[in-house]
Amino acid sequence: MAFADWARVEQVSAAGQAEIGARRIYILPTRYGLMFGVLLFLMLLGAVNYVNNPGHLLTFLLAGLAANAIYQTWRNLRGLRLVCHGGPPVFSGDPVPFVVELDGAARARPAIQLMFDDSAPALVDIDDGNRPQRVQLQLHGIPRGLHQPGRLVISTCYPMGLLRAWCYVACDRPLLVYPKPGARWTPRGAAGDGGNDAEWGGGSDDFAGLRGYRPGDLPSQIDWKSYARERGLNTRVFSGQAATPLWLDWVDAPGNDVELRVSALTRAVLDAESAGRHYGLKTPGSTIAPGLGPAHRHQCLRHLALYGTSDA
Amino acid sequence: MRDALAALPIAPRLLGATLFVLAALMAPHAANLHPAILGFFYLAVGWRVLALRHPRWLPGRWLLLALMAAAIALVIMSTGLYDGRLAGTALLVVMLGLKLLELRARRDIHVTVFLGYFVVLTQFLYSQSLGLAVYLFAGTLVLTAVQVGLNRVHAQPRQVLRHAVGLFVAALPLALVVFMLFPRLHSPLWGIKTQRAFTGISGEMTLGSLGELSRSTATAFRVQFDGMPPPPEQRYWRGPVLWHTDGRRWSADRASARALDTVGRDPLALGYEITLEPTGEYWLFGLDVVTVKPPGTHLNSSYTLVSEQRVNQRLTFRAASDPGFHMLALSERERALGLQLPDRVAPRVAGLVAQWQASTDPAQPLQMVARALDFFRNEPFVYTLTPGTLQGDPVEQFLFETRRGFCEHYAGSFALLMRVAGIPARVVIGYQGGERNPHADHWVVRQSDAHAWTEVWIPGLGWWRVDPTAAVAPDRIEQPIDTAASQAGDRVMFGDGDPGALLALWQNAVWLADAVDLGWHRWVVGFSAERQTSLLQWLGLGRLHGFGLAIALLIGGALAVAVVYLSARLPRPRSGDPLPMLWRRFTDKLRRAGVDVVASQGPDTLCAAAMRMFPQSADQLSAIRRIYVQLRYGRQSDQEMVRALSRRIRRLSLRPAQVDKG
Repeated sequence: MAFADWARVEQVSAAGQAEIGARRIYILPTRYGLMFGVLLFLMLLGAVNYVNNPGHLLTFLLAGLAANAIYQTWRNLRGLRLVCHGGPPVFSGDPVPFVVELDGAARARPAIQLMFDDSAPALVDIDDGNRPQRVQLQLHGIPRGLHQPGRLVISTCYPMGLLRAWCYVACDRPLLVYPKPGARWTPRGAAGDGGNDAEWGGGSDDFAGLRGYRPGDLPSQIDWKSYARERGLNTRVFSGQAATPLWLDWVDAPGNDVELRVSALTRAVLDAESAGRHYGLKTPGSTIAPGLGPAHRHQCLRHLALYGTSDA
Repeated sequence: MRDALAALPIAPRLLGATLFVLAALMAPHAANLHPAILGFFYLAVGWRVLALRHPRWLPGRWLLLALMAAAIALVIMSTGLYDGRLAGTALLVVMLGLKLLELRARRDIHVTVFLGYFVVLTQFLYSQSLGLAVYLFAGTLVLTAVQVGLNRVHAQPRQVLRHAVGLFVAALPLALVVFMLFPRLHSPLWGIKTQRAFTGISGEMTLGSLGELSRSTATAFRVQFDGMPPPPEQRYWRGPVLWHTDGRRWSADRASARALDTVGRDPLALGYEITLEPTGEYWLFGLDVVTVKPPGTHLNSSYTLVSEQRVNQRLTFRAASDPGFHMLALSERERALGLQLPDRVAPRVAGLVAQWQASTDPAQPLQMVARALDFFRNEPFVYTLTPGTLQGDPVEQFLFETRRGFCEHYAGSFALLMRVAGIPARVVIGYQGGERNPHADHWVVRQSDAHAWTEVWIPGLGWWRVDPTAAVAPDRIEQPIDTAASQAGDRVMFGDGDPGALLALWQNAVWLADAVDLGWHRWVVGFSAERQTSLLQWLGLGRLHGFGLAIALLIGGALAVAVVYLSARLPRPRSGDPLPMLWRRFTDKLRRAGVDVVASQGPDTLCAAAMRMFPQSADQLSAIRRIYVQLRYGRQSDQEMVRALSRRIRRLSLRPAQVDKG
């Protein structure tokens, strides 16, 4: 939308919060509004022609309603508070949820419509209770990677439907979209026994890699450095501990283009995770040490999601 | 931009409300439109109501097209397209009916609501009575509520109705300002043809015509005097003046329609404002001789106030009259007309006049007048609404045989007697009297006040009013006729009696309704260019017109809008959380009953203490505690539960524990 390029946009705070300011709201008549204008003109013509004063009064009353509707519609948006919560990562191809919490600020705000360019509109009546209302928008057709959801358009036509007030909110809450899992395949080494009886028996001699933290791991084995880098809580694993880690290697992945390989590796990560196998990920230029658990899974999927993108 | 609302299904309740309010708004058209047009509309409504349960019963596209063709044919046949207003209304009505049959999406309801607003306007083109206006504006309010409901996800009827009322109240100031300042035209943009029958006096008088009219209590016009109202014997409301007679019938003189040049401004004249019900005629009524005439009118040579247009709608005008004015002019033509006699004058009538002439001075015409009035006064004449029919020479028969008559009998025969005696005479018809509305400062003149009197030309005095009816029934001049009491054949009764209490109450209500109705007419229906000018003058904006008026309109509109929005910003008692208030009410009640309420106590502790003191009320107390805790700390807040809590607190009765005696 060309207009949106230079339109004023409400920015959310670091916590994702925003309050719609009076000067960020645009308002224009809807087609019903234009139709109503024509209706009023015809009614005035009739009233004037027949010198009909009750007709004048009716016409002016309706005109007053329409004039007042400008204010009412604008006020329905002004001061609306919202919190952009974003959503959990999903796989490409699935609808991407984006949760927005709306707070009417002690005022009933019927028929508030929320919409991203890529989403279906969601409509909600906000009552005047003080309970915030959560609205989940679903964005469609988003490829893998880290995406800004674009501008959230909040609009309303209430109460008369004659005018539409809207504003743009820049929801600075990136959405992570994992690659779409490809067809199932068997990575090299996955056919062997996945059991590793000596998982916990090994000494603590050679550092072998990291895996996701599990309750019961010794604090001295937790990799605090990676925690400090916000990679989640990981436990250092030493050789002999993780028997035969499964290496999911870029070069092994079927398919001869990047997307196919990314999809295949995504499938392999999911399979390994569900099989309980320790796995590591090798892609051109980087290696993720073998591990297991949600944090490791997330790390691998995120790596694949961002592979080859500017966010990598 | 995509619209999620358009995709939402419409609640059947909303659809039902739309159909109901449209059907209700259409109902008054029963008085205006051909029954077939209205029948078509209501059939469509019925069809659509059935389709609420069976959506498949809605007509398909081809059936709709066929129906549309039938509807247009119906409009052409029933109205003949002669009257643009009627044909347009009929077309709107059938099209709205057709639109109802293809009411599927939210968009369609929007369109029907808009058409509904237009239907209200068409209603006003036919009738502008206060009752109808109240009904229609209430319907418009409901229509707006439907429109508001259309724009919500969930529409609670009470909620949207309340919101619509709020919107109306906020729209009213702007509407009133624009209504007052919007320029009014003196005449329509293009021609309007209407045909309508009116009650009221006609331009001629046959014996018996006014008597029939006198049975109607319908309002002829209302008057508001600027100063003291004139005494009853001066309340003669002058209408057409009749010159030609054939003995039975009196009619106006066409040629006397030419206008008088001057009557002029008269500082001593009594000013008043008349709101005239539609008559379908040109003439207006004034307090006898109008000396300051309203714009758009002239006085004809018989001093009748004549409008340039037929009075087809209620008309409000200001005029002034001078009770001491003398109509001195008498042209040769008028003298000839004033002495014109029917082809045959009965010998008995001529004989009677000759007998009077013998005993009076021909240079003193007033003596002759007095003799004639004495004749009416002394002979056994009866003033009655049902004089019976007169055969043969009507004047002769009335004067010498039946002697039962209404005002036109007395006025007609008196004028004839004067003409026979050589005194120019004419008959004036109009109204006489009027009743004051006790609730407002105006007087009501009814059709039953229709009256006929005579004017004779006396040298030096000019045209001199003589009312022979006053000689027979002086009460007629002082009191209105009590039409209900004046039974057929009886003497006319005059309404000066003491009505019963219930009747008085009823009359009081009738007068109040009359006052409200006149207010509605003065300030809304009859708000003319003249009234607008006088209002502007009163506001000190008298010089405004054209461009200045437009500027005033803008400024006034802006002020009205500002008033609404500033008042909307005033602090208001917040309708926030009702729980603390309810809890306070509960603890107050406990405290009054003697429970030691400590602010820091939680509901459990407090209720336990209260239960110990009032074991009889333990069930009630624990129910209140349970609901309160649920509402206060639970997850959902429920209006129903809040109401239940409020109800229980209200009904809580704290009875002290019974002490066992003995």
